[in-house]
Amino acid sequence: MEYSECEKKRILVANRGEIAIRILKAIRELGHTAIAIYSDADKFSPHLTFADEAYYVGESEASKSYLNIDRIIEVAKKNKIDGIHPGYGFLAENTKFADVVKSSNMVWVGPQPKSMYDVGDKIRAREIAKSAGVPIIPGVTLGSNTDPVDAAKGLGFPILIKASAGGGGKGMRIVRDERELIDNVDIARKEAESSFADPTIYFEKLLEEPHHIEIQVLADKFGNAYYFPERECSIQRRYQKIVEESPSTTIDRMQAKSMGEAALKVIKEIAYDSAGTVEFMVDKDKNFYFLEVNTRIQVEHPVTEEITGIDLVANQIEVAFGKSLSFNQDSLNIPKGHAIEARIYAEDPVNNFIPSTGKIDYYKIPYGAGIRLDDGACKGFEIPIHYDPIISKVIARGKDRKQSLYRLHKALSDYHILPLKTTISFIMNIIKHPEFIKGCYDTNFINKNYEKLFDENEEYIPLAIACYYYLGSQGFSNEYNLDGRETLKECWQHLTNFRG
Amino acid sequence: MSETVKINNKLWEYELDKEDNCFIVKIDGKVYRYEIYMIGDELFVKENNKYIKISYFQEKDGLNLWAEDAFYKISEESEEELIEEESEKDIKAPMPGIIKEVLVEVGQHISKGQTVVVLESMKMSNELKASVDGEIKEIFVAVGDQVDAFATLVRIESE
Repeated sequence: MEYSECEKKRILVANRGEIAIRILKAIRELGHTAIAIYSDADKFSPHLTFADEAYYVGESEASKSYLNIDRIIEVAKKNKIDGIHPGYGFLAENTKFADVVKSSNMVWVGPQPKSMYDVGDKIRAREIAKSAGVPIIPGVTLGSNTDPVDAAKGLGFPILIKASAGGGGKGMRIVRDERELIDNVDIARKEAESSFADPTIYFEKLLEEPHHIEIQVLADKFGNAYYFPERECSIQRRYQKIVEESPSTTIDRMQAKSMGEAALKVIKEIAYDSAGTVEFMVDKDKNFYFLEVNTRIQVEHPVTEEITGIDLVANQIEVAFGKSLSFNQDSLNIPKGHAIEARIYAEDPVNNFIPSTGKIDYYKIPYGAGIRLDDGACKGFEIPIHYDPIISKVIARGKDRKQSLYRLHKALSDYHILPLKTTISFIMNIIKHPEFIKGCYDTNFINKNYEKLFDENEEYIPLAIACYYYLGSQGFSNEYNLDGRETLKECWQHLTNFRG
Repeated sequence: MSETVKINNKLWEYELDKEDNCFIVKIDGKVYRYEIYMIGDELFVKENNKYIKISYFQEKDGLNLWAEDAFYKISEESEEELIEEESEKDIKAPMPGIIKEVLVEVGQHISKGQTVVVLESMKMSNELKASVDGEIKEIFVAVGDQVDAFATLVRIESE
């Protein structure tokens, strides 16, 4: 079906799963040709069905497929691709890939490689923020001759050790005194070296009761740049976001405006011309500090789309192909209601969140007013062991926070996935927690309430027993039980008969 | 006569009765009365004047059931125990993955807590350790093999 009359471009999505589907849809909606890639593990991945063409790029291991720059470029050239969208993860923040895409005369749907390079290193990014006049968390870079103890004394404990080239919480350590510091400095350097091929680490003052609040920005090649209402991302486990909402319950519109303006200062400093996110930490006194810039579309971008009505992915593609943005900053400043996102991972919370991969036998999805499901799974699909175990994101929008929380809770209740273990119940316990409902939480929330987040709702146990008995009495058969043991059906018949 | 059922790894003792179209469950002296109707693929349960919609899905190891925001996995206690008994000593894959290392040989004596196999899943290494002192009887996998969740990897005979 052809609804749009634009100059048709062939755009390849160098990604998989839910984000590939999200982007492929946007490409088609803009009237372009959507092209997917896949690995062995993804031969029957749902994202392929959202593309006009799909090309094989390599074996299941990410390094041989979705991270294989040479192979992706080869496939792109052979198939006359006009532009590449990297999604998030994989090659999204790989400056070399962006460079190769551009030198191969394709459009890179992302910022200039130079901007990516500038903020790709955390220490460099801090310098940039500083020179843009944006506050940064007090910290110190550890040169090879710096005495760690001296450096720490200037800051005061507790201290966060970070890898300069790091990201996603990897290689981060909290130290509370001198002894812990000495014990951890060398380990942190080694970790940084092995994970990011760069042993440089730095110390940051650890903020008390901090919030992780980020600002979505969108800029074009003509100097237009806009900021969006903030996303509150303080519900994290091991520095990985789980639940995100917008607007935040922590800051008011005035503070959101100052943070938005600060975000624009940072991205203007690096001549940014795409969609991106400037992350901040906010302390308990509501002072904000620059954290980092993510030079890609983020997992949690739908929250912003839901409260502004603006399609960030479509705009990101359009500006990459040279269109200009024509918003009005004022129109973005007032959020239209409230939105909240829950990330659903194939992980077993009860078993320390180990990945729970395999084939999906049962998949029932939520729907209803204000509910958006960005998923990359379906019944019969096998969640591969090779990649990030994200299944989907459930996003709820409401006229206010109360309504969107209610809608998210209902949607999660209606979202059924088997036999994989998922984070659905865990997230349900987060959003049912009185402190969360009040909006009083910081990045310590999950650790602080850890035990309570595994509570099981026992209210319907008697009802469940009645249903179990009822299904047995209906002759509900157990088709799997072939090994001659008493089948559940027989057990149920036994139950049915005990009254004669 | 009271019965026992396992729900989400916890045992529940109950009494069950049927009266006309009503199912009566007694737990801890409390009595619950439900009318249950099968409507399409789901159950409608009526308790007093409230209807609750129940989704369910049958699996090998039990019945999965969703009620409002609760999820229950229900199984017969005995059946579960049988499976556990025959296999608790063996090394099984807790999740699908790729065998990175096999650290034992057939005939080797191992002690409880010793790492037997290293399984990689989603870039995480998992050391699978022996739960008993014993002897390696059989090894079913080799380095590089891709295994399913719950697959038996190494058979151990306890001492």
